[in-house]
Amino acid sequence: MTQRWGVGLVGSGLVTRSIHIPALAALGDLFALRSLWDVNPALAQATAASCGAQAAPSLEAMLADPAIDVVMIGSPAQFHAGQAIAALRAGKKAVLVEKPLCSTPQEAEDIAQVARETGGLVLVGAMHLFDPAWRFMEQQVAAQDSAPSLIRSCIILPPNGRFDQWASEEILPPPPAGSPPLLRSEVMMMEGAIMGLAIHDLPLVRRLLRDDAGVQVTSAKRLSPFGYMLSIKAGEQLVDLFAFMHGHWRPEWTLTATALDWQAHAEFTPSFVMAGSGSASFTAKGASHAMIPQADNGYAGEWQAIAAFLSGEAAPPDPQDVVRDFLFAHAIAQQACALVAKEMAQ
Amino acid sequence: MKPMLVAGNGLSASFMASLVASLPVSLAQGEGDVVLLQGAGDWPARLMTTLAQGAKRIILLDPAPVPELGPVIEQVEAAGALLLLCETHSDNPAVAPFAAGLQPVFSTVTVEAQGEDDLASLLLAQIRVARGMGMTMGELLNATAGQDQALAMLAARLRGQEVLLRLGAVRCRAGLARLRWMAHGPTDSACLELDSSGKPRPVVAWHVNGDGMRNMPSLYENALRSILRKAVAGAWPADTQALRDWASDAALALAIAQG
Repeated sequence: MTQRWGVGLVGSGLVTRSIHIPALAALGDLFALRSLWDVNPALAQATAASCGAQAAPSLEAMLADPAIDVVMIGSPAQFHAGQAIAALRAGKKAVLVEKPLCSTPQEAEDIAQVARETGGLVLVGAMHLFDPAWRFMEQQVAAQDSAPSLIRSCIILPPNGRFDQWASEEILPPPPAGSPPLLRSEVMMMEGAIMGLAIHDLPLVRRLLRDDAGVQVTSAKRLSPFGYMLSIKAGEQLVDLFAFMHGHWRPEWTLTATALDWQAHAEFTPSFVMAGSGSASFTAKGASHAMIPQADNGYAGEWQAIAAFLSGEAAPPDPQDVVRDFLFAHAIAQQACALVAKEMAQ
Repeated sequence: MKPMLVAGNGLSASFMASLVASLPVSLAQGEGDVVLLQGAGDWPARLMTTLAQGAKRIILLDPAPVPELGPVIEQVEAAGALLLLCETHSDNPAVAPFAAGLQPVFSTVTVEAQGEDDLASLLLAQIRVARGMGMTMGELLNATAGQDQALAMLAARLRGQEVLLRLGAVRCRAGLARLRWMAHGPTDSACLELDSSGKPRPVVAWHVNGDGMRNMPSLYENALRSILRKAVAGAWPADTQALRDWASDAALALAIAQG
């Protein structure tokens, strides 16, 4: 039997409950979920009990546990950098950080620096990067001489609350709201939409661009109740980012790259659901070939990739990759927010 | 019933023969009743010539966008000719019944088009379908274009509601040329996907909300046959307003294509 890597999970929210615990349960030959920590001890206890793990009394205690090789960080983004760096400094072999990697470019550079110093791996849970549909699409695009002239990311989803009903079960009711929710400005909403939703596929978009350094957001509109519409120019290439959340269940999550003589297209399953991989097609010269959905989705792919890196079956990624992905998303978010702020001021 | 005589201009003999054969009671090939004028780039000149030759009823098929149409419209009016537009996408017979079922529940509309046509033609087809859906265009809020692709955002209205209209066009010689119109609202989505080949292929049309999903029945009919049936039935426009509206949309498409 190959080595089973011990896992600790930080955070007990929907992502942990609907995604990582089921994904790890299906990969029991590679990973053993040992420990879980959350700022809400009751939720941590209940969640840990549901999957046979221990509830760690503190993050420090979890990180001090030598049986834990890999830490998944599923806390709010403002805590990611500190927790990821702490895990790396504690000697963990790999850290899987839910997207976004962190909150600022400096934090991203700091994480990569510590990863280089400690030799620990850092991956971001951009699940579509690990989805077989994207791998198919990426392979096909890489074989072409021409770059896509237009890249379109389209995310149409019901609100996240629906997923509690469809993809998982609530373990504990949420604590009563202590104070009314903060009013969020249009600019904050735009930033949240990009760093919370667009961020899923921005690493894929970046890999389809010839030059991602000088992206220019030429228009940005936030959509109500939740969504965005962005036009982005990257040299001669254009990117169309569209997202809309509605009140009914007919998701549509696609990524399309179109050149004059070919088109690559991927359709992904919604977040949270364990419905297998996406599907993909590549069309050129009047013929298409397609990849049908595979059993494992990108969530499983993230963990399988970690296992492959740790066992030496695959070359570890350059820590700077996650920094580049973050900087790309951050630049788009900053420019989009500036456009929204400008419009609000008029 | 005496069949309507149709003469082609800019259309191949096999195309005309096949078209007439598909409506054998309504149509016959010949001069005298209607000129079916293909709308490739030089169509204004060919239209002027056709008018000068005395044609009184003309069906203009998929006219390519041109920047200035004033003299042509004046010539049509001076000749007392009747001109019927026929556009592959917006005159697809599925558009009108689909549009009739739309409720004022949408806040955003996206239109995507891809095909071999030039960028302005792809954009024009999108705008025309939006018109066919009953949308009225407002301010062009943003346009970004490259050699083979364009993105634009417009203020518009649909069923009396303000909506944001997103146009995205890309030239592509691979795969199916198609146009997809989709409306998004907090409670409803509606989508109409049109084939661009001009063949009588059925559209993909659906509407979904919390009550469920409705699909439109398959319809094996295309714009040209549908317009010809109208022409045979005598549904010719009394003036050139439709052509004027088209000219306005063409100017918008050309402006977006130039970024």
